[in-house]
Amino acid sequence: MILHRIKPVAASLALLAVLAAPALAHRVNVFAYVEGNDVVVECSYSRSERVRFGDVDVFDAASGAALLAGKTDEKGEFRFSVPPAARAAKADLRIVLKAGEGHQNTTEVKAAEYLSAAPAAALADSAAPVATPATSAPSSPLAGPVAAASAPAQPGGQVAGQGVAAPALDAAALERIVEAAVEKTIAPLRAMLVGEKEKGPGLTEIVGGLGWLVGLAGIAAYFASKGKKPQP
Amino acid sequence: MHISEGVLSGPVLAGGWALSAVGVGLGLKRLDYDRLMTVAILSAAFFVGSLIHVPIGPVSAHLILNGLLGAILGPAAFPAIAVALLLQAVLFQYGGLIVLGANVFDMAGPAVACSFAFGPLLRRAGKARTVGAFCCGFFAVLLAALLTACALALSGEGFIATAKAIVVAHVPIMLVEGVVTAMAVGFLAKVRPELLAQVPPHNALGS
Repeated sequence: MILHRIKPVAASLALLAVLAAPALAHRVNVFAYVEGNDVVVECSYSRSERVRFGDVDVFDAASGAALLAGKTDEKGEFRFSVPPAARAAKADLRIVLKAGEGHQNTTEVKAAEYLSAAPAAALADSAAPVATPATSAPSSPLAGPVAAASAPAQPGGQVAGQGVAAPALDAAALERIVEAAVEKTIAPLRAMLVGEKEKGPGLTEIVGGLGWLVGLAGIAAYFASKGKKPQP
Repeated sequence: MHISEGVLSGPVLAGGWALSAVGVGLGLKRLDYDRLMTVAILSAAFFVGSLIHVPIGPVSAHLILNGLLGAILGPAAFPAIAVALLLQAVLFQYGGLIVLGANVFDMAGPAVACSFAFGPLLRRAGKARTVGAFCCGFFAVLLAALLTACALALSGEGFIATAKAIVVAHVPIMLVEGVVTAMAVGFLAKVRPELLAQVPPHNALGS
Protein backbone atom coordinates (compact mmCIF):
# COMPACT_ATOMS: atom_id res chain seq x y z
CA MET A 1 0.00 0.00 0.00
CA ILE A 2 2.61 2.47 1.13
CA LEU A 3 4.96 1.04 -1.47
CA HIS A 4 2.41 1.78 -4.12
CA ARG A 5 2.14 5.34 -2.98
CA ILE A 6 5.85 6.08 -3.03
CA LYS A 7 6.56 4.51 -6.40
CA PRO A 8 6.49 7.69 -8.52
CA VAL A 9 8.62 9.57 -6.03
CA ALA A 10 11.04 6.67 -5.84
CA ALA A 11 11.28 6.62 -9.62
CA SER A 12 12.16 10.29 -9.80
CA LEU A 13 14.63 9.79 -6.99
CA ALA A 14 16.34 7.01 -8.89
CA LEU A 15 16.59 9.36 -11.85
CA LEU A 16 18.18 11.96 -9.60
CA ALA A 17 20.72 9.43 -8.37
CA VAL A 18 21.68 8.51 -11.93
CA LEU A 19 22.07 12.16 -12.88
CA ALA A 20 24.17 12.71 -9.79
CA ALA A 21 26.84 10.17 -10.66
CA PRO A 22 29.17 12.40 -12.72
CA ALA A 23 28.45 15.55 -10.76
CA LEU A 24 31.09 17.45 -8.83
CA ALA A 25 31.32 18.47 -5.23
CA HIS A 26 30.50 21.92 -4.03
CA ARG A 27 33.06 22.17 -1.35
CA VAL A 28 36.22 24.18 -1.39
CA ASN A 29 39.50 22.29 -1.29
CA VAL A 30 42.90 23.59 -0.31
CA PHE A 31 46.02 21.53 -0.78
CA ALA A 32 49.51 22.70 0.10
CA TYR A 33 52.87 21.15 -0.65
CA VAL A 34 56.48 22.14 -0.45
CA GLU A 35 58.51 22.73 -3.58
CA GLY A 36 62.11 23.60 -2.90
CA ASN A 37 62.10 26.72 -0.80
CA ASP A 38 58.46 27.55 -1.55
CA VAL A 39 55.11 26.39 -0.35
CA VAL A 40 52.57 25.95 -3.11
CA VAL A 41 48.88 26.18 -2.25
CA GLU A 42 46.36 24.78 -4.71
CA CYS A 43 42.75 25.83 -4.28
CA SER A 44 39.76 24.42 -6.07
CA TYR A 45 36.05 23.86 -5.85
CA SER A 46 36.35 20.76 -7.94
CA ARG A 47 38.67 19.30 -10.51
CA SER A 48 37.70 21.68 -13.25
CA GLU A 49 36.87 24.67 -11.17
CA ARG A 50 39.74 26.61 -9.64
CA VAL A 51 39.35 29.21 -6.94
CA ARG A 52 40.41 32.30 -8.86
CA PHE A 53 41.59 35.22 -6.75
CA GLY A 54 40.64 33.62 -3.44
CA ASP A 55 42.18 35.08 -0.31
CA VAL A 56 44.89 32.97 1.27
CA ASP A 57 46.10 33.76 4.77
CA VAL A 58 49.07 32.03 6.35
CA PHE A 59 49.32 31.77 10.13
CA ASP A 60 51.72 30.34 12.61
CA ALA A 61 49.75 27.25 13.66
CA ALA A 62 50.94 27.37 17.25
CA SER A 63 50.66 31.06 18.10
CA GLY A 64 48.03 32.05 15.51
CA ALA A 65 50.12 35.03 14.43
CA ALA A 66 49.49 36.12 10.85
CA LEU A 67 52.58 35.59 8.73
CA LEU A 68 51.50 36.65 5.27
CA ALA A 69 48.51 36.95 2.99
CA GLY A 70 47.90 36.75 -0.71
CA LYS A 71 45.51 35.87 -3.48
CA THR A 72 45.38 32.83 -5.71
CA ASP A 73 46.08 33.33 -9.39
CA GLU A 74 44.05 32.32 -12.43
CA LYS A 75 44.89 28.67 -11.88
CA GLY A 76 43.89 28.74 -8.23
CA GLU A 77 47.53 28.61 -7.17
CA PHE A 78 49.33 30.66 -4.57
CA ARG A 79 53.05 30.32 -4.01
CA PHE A 80 55.03 31.80 -1.17
CA SER A 81 58.44 31.27 0.33
CA VAL A 82 58.48 30.33 3.97
CA PRO A 83 59.20 33.49 6.00
CA PRO A 84 62.66 33.34 7.62
CA ALA A 85 61.14 34.00 11.03
CA ALA A 86 58.89 30.97 10.72
CA ARG A 87 61.79 28.90 9.42
CA ALA A 88 63.94 29.89 12.37
CA ALA A 89 61.16 29.13 14.85
CA LYS A 90 60.39 25.83 13.07
CA ALA A 91 56.74 26.91 13.08
CA ASP A 92 54.00 24.81 11.53
CA LEU A 93 52.04 26.85 8.99
CA ARG A 94 48.28 27.02 8.98
CA ILE A 95 46.92 28.04 5.59
CA VAL A 96 43.38 29.38 5.44
CA LEU A 97 41.61 29.82 2.13
CA LYS A 98 38.65 32.16 2.00
CA ALA A 99 36.90 31.69 -1.29
CA GLY A 100 34.10 34.08 -0.45
CA GLU A 101 30.38 33.55 0.03
CA GLY A 102 30.96 31.43 3.08
CA HIS A 103 33.41 29.04 1.49
CA GLN A 104 36.48 28.46 3.59
CA ASN A 105 38.93 25.68 4.24
CA THR A 106 42.15 25.16 6.12
CA THR A 107 45.23 23.07 5.68
CA GLU A 108 48.50 22.78 7.52
CA VAL A 109 52.12 22.48 6.47
CA LYS A 110 54.29 20.98 9.18
CA ALA A 111 57.66 22.53 9.84
CA ALA A 112 59.31 19.16 9.24
CA GLU A 113 57.96 19.19 5.68
CA TYR A 114 59.53 22.43 4.54
CA LEU A 115 62.66 22.02 6.64
CA SER A 116 63.47 18.65 5.14
CA ALA A 117 62.32 19.54 1.65
CA ALA A 118 64.82 22.35 1.16
CA PRO A 119 68.05 21.34 2.80
CA ALA A 120 70.22 22.46 -0.08
CA ALA A 121 68.60 25.86 -0.28
CA ALA A 122 68.79 26.22 3.48
CA LEU A 123 72.46 25.30 3.32
CA ALA A 124 73.18 27.94 0.75
CA ASP A 125 71.02 30.57 2.42
CA SER A 126 71.84 30.31 6.07
CA ALA A 127 74.10 27.44 6.99
CA ALA A 128 76.94 28.30 4.63
CA PRO A 129 77.65 31.84 5.91
CA VAL A 130 77.66 30.48 9.44
CA ALA A 131 80.07 27.78 8.39
CA THR A 132 82.46 30.12 6.63
CA PRO A 133 84.24 31.45 9.71
CA ALA A 134 84.96 27.88 10.68
CA THR A 135 86.69 27.27 7.37
CA SER A 136 88.50 30.57 7.83
CA ALA A 137 87.19 32.08 4.59
CA PRO A 138 86.91 35.89 4.48
CA SER A 139 83.44 37.08 5.48
CA SER A 140 83.07 39.58 2.63
CA PRO A 141 79.70 40.12 0.87
CA LEU A 142 81.02 37.97 -1.92
CA ALA A 143 81.50 35.10 0.47
CA GLY A 144 77.86 33.86 0.19
CA PRO A 145 77.91 31.98 -3.07
CA VAL A 146 81.61 31.40 -2.95
CA ALA A 147 81.32 29.87 0.46
CA ALA A 148 78.47 27.67 -0.64
CA ALA A 149 80.68 26.36 -3.39
CA SER A 150 83.82 26.11 -1.39
CA ALA A 151 82.44 25.05 1.97
CA PRO A 152 82.31 21.41 1.00
CA ALA A 153 85.92 21.65 -0.04
CA GLN A 154 86.84 20.44 3.41
CA PRO A 155 84.59 17.36 3.45
CA GLY A 156 85.49 17.10 -0.23
CA GLY A 157 88.30 14.91 0.92
CA GLN A 158 85.82 12.32 2.03
CA VAL A 159 83.89 12.55 -1.21
CA ALA A 160 87.05 12.20 -3.21
CA GLY A 161 87.98 9.25 -1.09
CA GLN A 162 84.82 7.46 -2.08
CA GLY A 163 84.86 8.17 -5.79
CA VAL A 164 87.82 9.56 -7.59
CA ALA A 165 85.80 9.78 -10.84
CA ALA A 166 83.57 12.58 -9.45
CA PRO A 167 85.88 15.15 -8.02
CA ALA A 168 83.90 18.36 -8.68
CA LEU A 169 80.57 17.21 -7.25
CA ASP A 170 80.06 19.07 -4.01
CA ALA A 171 77.43 18.23 -1.43
CA ALA A 172 75.15 21.16 -2.18
CA ALA A 173 75.03 20.40 -5.89
CA LEU A 174 74.39 16.76 -5.16
CA GLU A 175 71.52 17.67 -2.87
CA ARG A 176 70.02 19.82 -5.59
CA ILE A 177 70.28 17.05 -8.14
CA VAL A 178 68.70 14.51 -5.81
CA GLU A 179 66.00 16.99 -4.93
CA ALA A 180 65.18 17.61 -8.57
CA ALA A 181 65.07 13.88 -9.27
CA VAL A 182 62.83 13.19 -6.29
CA GLU A 183 60.62 16.11 -7.25
CA LYS A 184 60.22 14.62 -10.72
CA THR A 185 59.36 11.22 -9.29
CA ILE A 186 56.77 12.36 -6.80
CA ALA A 187 55.07 14.96 -8.99
CA PRO A 188 52.54 12.47 -10.40
CA LEU A 189 51.95 11.07 -6.94
CA ARG A 190 51.18 14.53 -5.69
CA ALA A 191 48.84 15.19 -8.57
CA MET A 192 47.08 11.97 -7.64
CA LEU A 193 46.75 13.10 -4.04
CA VAL A 194 45.30 16.42 -5.12
CA GLY A 195 42.87 14.63 -7.41
CA GLU A 196 41.86 12.31 -4.60
CA LYS A 197 41.14 15.24 -2.35
CA GLU A 198 39.16 17.06 -5.01
CA LYS A 199 36.98 14.13 -5.84
CA GLY A 200 33.37 14.56 -4.88
CA PRO A 201 31.50 12.13 -2.70
CA GLY A 202 31.61 8.64 -4.10
CA LEU A 203 28.83 6.14 -4.57
CA THR A 204 29.58 4.68 -1.13
CA GLU A 205 28.80 7.93 0.62
CA ILE A 206 25.70 8.63 -1.45
CA VAL A 207 24.20 5.21 -1.01
CA GLY A 208 25.23 5.24 2.63
CA GLY A 209 23.42 8.51 3.17
CA LEU A 210 20.27 7.23 1.49
CA GLY A 211 20.48 4.14 3.65
CA TRP A 212 20.68 6.30 6.73
CA LEU A 213 17.55 8.17 5.71
CA VAL A 214 15.63 4.97 5.10
CA GLY A 215 16.85 3.60 8.41
CA LEU A 216 15.86 6.71 10.31
CA ALA A 217 12.44 6.66 8.70
CA GLY A 218 12.10 3.01 9.69
CA ILE A 219 12.99 3.75 13.29
CA ALA A 220 10.58 6.68 13.37
CA ALA A 221 7.86 4.53 11.81
CA TYR A 222 8.48 1.84 14.40
CA PHE A 223 8.08 4.21 17.31
CA ALA A 224 5.14 5.99 15.71
CA SER A 225 3.37 2.67 15.15
CA LYS A 226 3.98 1.65 18.78
CA GLY A 227 2.36 4.81 19.96
CA LYS A 228 -0.51 4.31 17.56
CA LYS A 229 -1.45 0.76 18.37
CA PRO A 230 -3.49 1.29 21.50
CA GLN A 231 -5.76 3.70 19.60
CA PRO A 232 -8.00 1.24 17.72
CA MET B 1 25.23 27.57 -0.47
CA HIS B 2 26.67 25.48 2.34
CA ILE B 3 28.47 27.87 4.66
CA SER B 4 31.82 26.42 5.68
CA GLU B 5 33.05 25.89 9.19
CA GLY B 6 34.82 28.80 10.82
CA VAL B 7 33.21 31.56 8.77
CA LEU B 8 30.34 32.61 10.99
CA SER B 9 30.69 34.34 14.34
CA GLY B 10 29.59 32.80 17.64
CA PRO B 11 26.26 34.63 18.08
CA VAL B 12 25.20 33.85 14.50
CA LEU B 13 26.01 30.17 15.01
CA ALA B 14 24.06 30.09 18.26
CA GLY B 15 21.13 31.92 16.68
CA GLY B 16 21.11 29.47 13.78
CA TRP B 17 21.00 26.53 16.17
CA ALA B 18 18.20 28.06 18.23
CA LEU B 19 16.03 28.88 15.23
CA SER B 20 16.66 25.48 13.66
CA ALA B 21 15.83 23.66 16.90
CA VAL B 22 12.50 25.49 17.07
CA GLY B 23 11.80 24.76 13.42
CA VAL B 24 12.66 21.08 13.71
CA GLY B 25 10.55 20.79 16.86
CA LEU B 26 7.51 22.37 15.24
CA GLY B 27 8.02 20.33 12.09
CA LEU B 28 8.16 17.07 14.03
CA LYS B 29 5.01 18.03 15.89
CA ARG B 30 3.17 18.52 12.61
CA LEU B 31 4.53 15.26 11.22
CA ASP B 32 2.03 12.44 11.37
CA TYR B 33 2.62 8.75 10.85
CA ASP B 34 1.12 8.56 7.36
CA ARG B 35 3.52 11.11 5.95
CA LEU B 36 6.67 9.67 7.46
CA MET B 37 7.82 7.90 4.30
CA THR B 38 7.09 10.91 2.13
CA VAL B 39 9.26 13.01 4.41
CA ALA B 40 12.06 10.45 4.29
CA ILE B 41 11.94 10.19 0.51
CA LEU B 42 11.96 13.94 -0.01
CA SER B 43 14.75 14.23 2.50
CA ALA B 44 16.65 11.76 0.34
CA ALA B 45 15.86 13.84 -2.74
CA PHE B 46 17.25 16.92 -1.01
CA PHE B 47 20.31 14.95 0.09
CA VAL B 48 21.06 13.87 -3.47
CA GLY B 49 19.89 17.11 -5.08
CA SER B 50 22.94 19.06 -4.02
CA LEU B 51 25.09 16.66 -6.03
CA ILE B 52 23.44 17.72 -9.25
CA HIS B 53 25.33 20.63 -10.67
CA VAL B 54 23.97 23.03 -13.18
CA PRO B 55 26.85 24.63 -15.07
CA ILE B 56 26.09 28.22 -16.05
CA GLY B 57 29.02 29.90 -17.75
CA PRO B 58 31.94 30.07 -15.38
CA VAL B 59 30.03 29.17 -12.25
CA SER B 60 28.21 26.02 -11.40
CA ALA B 61 25.60 25.80 -8.71
CA HIS B 62 23.79 22.78 -7.44
CA LEU B 63 20.11 22.08 -7.17
CA ILE B 64 18.68 22.78 -3.75
CA LEU B 65 15.10 21.52 -3.91
CA ASN B 66 14.12 23.24 -0.68
CA GLY B 67 11.11 24.81 -2.39
CA LEU B 68 9.91 21.40 -3.50
CA LEU B 69 10.19 20.08 0.04
CA GLY B 70 8.31 23.07 1.35
CA ALA B 71 5.58 22.70 -1.25
CA ILE B 72 4.97 19.04 -0.49
CA LEU B 73 5.86 18.74 3.19
CA GLY B 74 5.00 22.11 4.68
CA PRO B 75 6.50 22.50 8.17
CA ALA B 76 7.78 18.92 8.05
CA ALA B 77 10.35 20.17 5.52
CA PHE B 78 12.34 21.41 8.50
CA PRO B 79 13.31 18.03 9.99
CA ALA B 80 13.68 16.58 6.49
CA ILE B 81 16.20 19.24 5.49
CA ALA B 82 17.95 19.09 8.87
CA VAL B 83 18.61 15.36 8.58
CA ALA B 84 19.72 15.64 4.96
CA LEU B 85 22.13 18.47 5.75
CA LEU B 86 23.49 16.56 8.73
CA LEU B 87 24.26 13.61 6.48
CA GLN B 88 25.81 15.88 3.85
CA ALA B 89 28.03 17.45 6.50
CA VAL B 90 29.13 14.10 7.90
CA LEU B 91 29.50 12.16 4.66
CA PHE B 92 30.45 14.80 2.07
CA GLN B 93 32.06 17.42 4.31
CA TYR B 94 29.68 19.99 2.86
CA GLY B 95 29.37 22.72 5.45
CA GLY B 96 30.17 21.39 8.90
CA LEU B 97 28.69 20.27 12.17
CA ILE B 98 29.11 23.50 14.14
CA VAL B 99 27.65 25.59 11.36
CA LEU B 100 24.84 23.10 10.74
CA GLY B 101 22.26 25.10 12.68
CA ALA B 102 22.71 28.15 10.50
CA ASN B 103 22.74 26.10 7.30
CA VAL B 104 19.54 24.29 8.28
CA PHE B 105 17.71 27.51 8.99
CA ASP B 106 18.99 29.14 5.79
CA MET B 107 17.53 26.31 3.73
CA ALA B 108 14.49 25.15 5.68
CA GLY B 109 13.21 28.52 6.87
CA PRO B 110 12.48 29.76 3.34
CA ALA B 111 10.98 26.38 2.41
CA VAL B 112 8.42 26.57 5.19
CA ALA B 113 7.80 30.28 4.62
CA CYS B 114 7.05 29.59 0.95
CA SER B 115 4.76 26.72 1.82
CA PHE B 116 2.69 29.09 3.92
CA ALA B 117 2.84 31.91 1.39
CA PHE B 118 1.90 29.81 -1.64
CA GLY B 119 -0.04 27.06 0.13
CA PRO B 120 -3.44 28.46 -0.90
CA LEU B 121 -2.34 28.54 -4.55
CA LEU B 122 -0.94 25.01 -4.32
CA ARG B 123 -4.21 23.61 -3.08
CA ARG B 124 -6.12 24.96 -6.05
CA ALA B 125 -6.28 23.14 -9.32
CA GLY B 126 -4.88 23.91 -12.75
CA LYS B 127 -2.78 26.92 -13.57
CA ALA B 128 -2.88 28.37 -10.07
CA ARG B 129 -1.16 25.30 -8.74
CA THR B 130 1.57 25.45 -11.36
CA VAL B 131 2.18 29.11 -10.62
CA GLY B 132 2.22 28.42 -6.89
CA ALA B 133 4.68 25.58 -7.27
CA PHE B 134 6.96 27.64 -9.50
CA CYS B 135 6.91 30.47 -6.97
CA CYS B 136 7.66 28.00 -4.18
CA GLY B 137 10.76 26.73 -5.98
CA PHE B 138 11.86 30.19 -7.10
CA PHE B 139 11.38 32.16 -3.91
CA ALA B 140 12.64 29.44 -1.57
CA VAL B 141 16.04 29.64 -3.29
CA LEU B 142 15.96 33.44 -3.42
CA LEU B 143 15.16 33.67 0.29
CA ALA B 144 17.77 31.05 1.10
CA ALA B 145 20.37 33.10 -0.79
CA LEU B 146 19.35 36.24 1.09
CA LEU B 147 19.41 34.46 4.45
CA THR B 148 22.86 33.07 3.69
CA ALA B 149 24.03 36.56 2.79
CA CYS B 150 22.49 37.83 6.05
CA ALA B 151 24.33 35.21 8.11
CA LEU B 152 27.59 36.16 6.38
CA ALA B 153 26.90 39.87 6.75
CA LEU B 154 26.29 39.48 10.48
CA SER B 155 29.68 37.78 10.68
CA GLY B 156 31.62 40.47 8.88
CA GLU B 157 31.29 40.10 5.13
CA GLY B 158 29.57 43.07 3.51
CA PHE B 159 25.91 42.31 2.95
CA ILE B 160 25.28 44.00 -0.38
CA ALA B 161 28.30 42.58 -2.17
CA THR B 162 27.80 39.09 -0.76
CA ALA B 163 24.08 39.08 -1.37
CA LYS B 164 24.61 40.26 -4.94
CA ALA B 165 27.19 37.57 -5.63
CA ILE B 166 25.09 34.79 -4.14
CA VAL B 167 21.80 35.90 -5.67
CA VAL B 168 23.28 36.46 -9.11
CA ALA B 169 24.92 33.03 -9.04
CA HIS B 170 21.61 31.48 -8.08
CA VAL B 171 19.26 33.20 -10.52
CA PRO B 172 19.48 30.31 -12.98
CA ILE B 173 19.03 27.89 -10.11
CA MET B 174 15.92 29.75 -9.03
CA LEU B 175 14.46 29.37 -12.49
CA VAL B 176 15.44 25.71 -12.73
CA GLU B 177 14.07 25.01 -9.26
CA GLY B 178 10.85 26.80 -10.10
CA VAL B 179 10.38 24.67 -13.19
CA VAL B 180 11.40 21.46 -11.39
CA THR B 181 9.03 22.18 -8.52
CA ALA B 182 6.18 23.06 -10.86
CA MET B 183 6.72 19.86 -12.83
CA ALA B 184 7.04 17.69 -9.74
CA VAL B 185 3.95 19.16 -8.13
CA GLY B 186 1.98 18.90 -11.37
CA PHE B 187 3.05 15.30 -11.76
CA LEU B 188 2.17 14.41 -8.19
CA ALA B 189 -1.16 16.19 -8.45
CA LYS B 190 -2.04 13.90 -11.34
CA VAL B 191 -0.62 10.67 -9.97
CA ARG B 192 -0.78 10.97 -6.19
CA PRO B 193 -2.94 13.95 -5.26
CA GLU B 194 -3.07 12.88 -1.63
CA LEU B 195 0.63 13.69 -1.31
CA LEU B 196 -0.17 17.33 -1.86
CA ALA B 197 -2.94 17.43 0.69
CA GLN B 198 -0.47 18.92 3.13
CA VAL B 199 -0.43 21.93 5.35
CA PRO B 200 -4.02 22.02 6.63
CA PRO B 201 -2.63 21.88 10.15
CA HIS B 202 -5.84 20.81 11.84
CA ASN B 203 -5.69 17.54 9.88
CA ALA B 204 -2.11 16.83 10.75
CA LEU B 205 -2.49 17.65 14.40
CA GLY B 206 -5.74 15.77 14.74
CA SER B 207 -4.42 12.40 13.69
